Amino acid sequence: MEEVKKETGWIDKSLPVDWGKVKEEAIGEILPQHMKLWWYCLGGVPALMFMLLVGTGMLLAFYYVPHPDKAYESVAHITNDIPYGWWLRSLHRWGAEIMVVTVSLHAIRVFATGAYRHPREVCWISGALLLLLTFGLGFTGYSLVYTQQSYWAMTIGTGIAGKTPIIGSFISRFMMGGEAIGPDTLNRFFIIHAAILPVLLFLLIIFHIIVIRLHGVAEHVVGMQREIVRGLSRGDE
Amino acid sequence: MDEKKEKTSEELSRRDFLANTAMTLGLVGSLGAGAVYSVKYLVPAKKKAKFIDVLMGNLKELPAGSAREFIDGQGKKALLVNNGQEIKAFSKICTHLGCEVEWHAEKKEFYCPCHEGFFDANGKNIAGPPPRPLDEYKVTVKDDNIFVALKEV
Repeated sequence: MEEVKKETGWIDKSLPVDWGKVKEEAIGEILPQHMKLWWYCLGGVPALMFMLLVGTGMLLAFYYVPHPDKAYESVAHITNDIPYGWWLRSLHRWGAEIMVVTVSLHAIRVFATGAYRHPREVCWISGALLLLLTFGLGFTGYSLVYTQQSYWAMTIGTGIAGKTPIIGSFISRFMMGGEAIGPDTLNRFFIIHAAILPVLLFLLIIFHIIVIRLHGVAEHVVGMQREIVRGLSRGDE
Repeated sequence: MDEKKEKTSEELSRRDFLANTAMTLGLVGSLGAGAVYSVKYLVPAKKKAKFIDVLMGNLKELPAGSAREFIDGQGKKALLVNNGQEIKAFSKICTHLGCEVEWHAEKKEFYCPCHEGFFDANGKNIAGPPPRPLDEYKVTVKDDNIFVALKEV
């Protein structure tokens, strides 16, 4: 690492980052053999989908109007009138679907292979929170379209939350922004869907990935254990 | 480990080259298409200007050499002119600094008094400071009736 570059340009001087090391850290991690199987890498798909959803979501927010009288119309406007609106909305919709499915499969895989065990509890807990946040985003996003289905999904969702012991009525009133579903509900769902949950999800994804990288991916507990090339894994001994 | 890496990067195999090319093309293609479509999505749709033919009068009311003022759909003054050969309609706004031009029937030209600008009977700038011809309206004559195409308001 005594490599000192003789010729350093403006960028190297003003932004003294060892790019080789960054690359090494980012894509150079040595992984055990079983990671070549796609179902061990399902955590990356929801992360990728999240990026797609942030991009398309920002674009959809340009035309979406969170008001009971306008919400459905604005969605129809995006789908039917705006150039490529149908395309972006489909990407957002199917991306969300894929994210929910893959994040669930990822959780099942981690559970089934016992990858959640000590010392990776923190990773598992943050993953569980990520799953909940994903469901929250799915629920709020589903409601924003404001079709009949959306309306009844809101009714059922807030109803379920309302059945929580002791704090239930508070939670459901807080979600609806009143005693019943009205204009404030849609506004709340929009802010929760487009501002609060994505930021929390983003921070938690970063945390989740940092914890994974600190531990290294889990060793396989059954079956493929013997195929792992010794010394290649950074996992615990 | 570093040595090994340098070797592989120097001796790029055909397989790696093809894989890298395919991946780069795929990435650039999909992201590029996404970027283009996103921009198209955001750019507001231009309303196509619609023109309507508005009846401005009869040929008998506009003898050769005469002109008549009218107001277009945007509230701007304009002139309907019979230059002897055909009926034409021009904006009264001088293309130099926006003064009102006058029609001089005897010379068959438009004159801008502010800075001595001259336009011929076809609206072309022929003398003085005006940089381009007068703005023209499309005129059609049907059964001696004069119609001027005006922007729909």
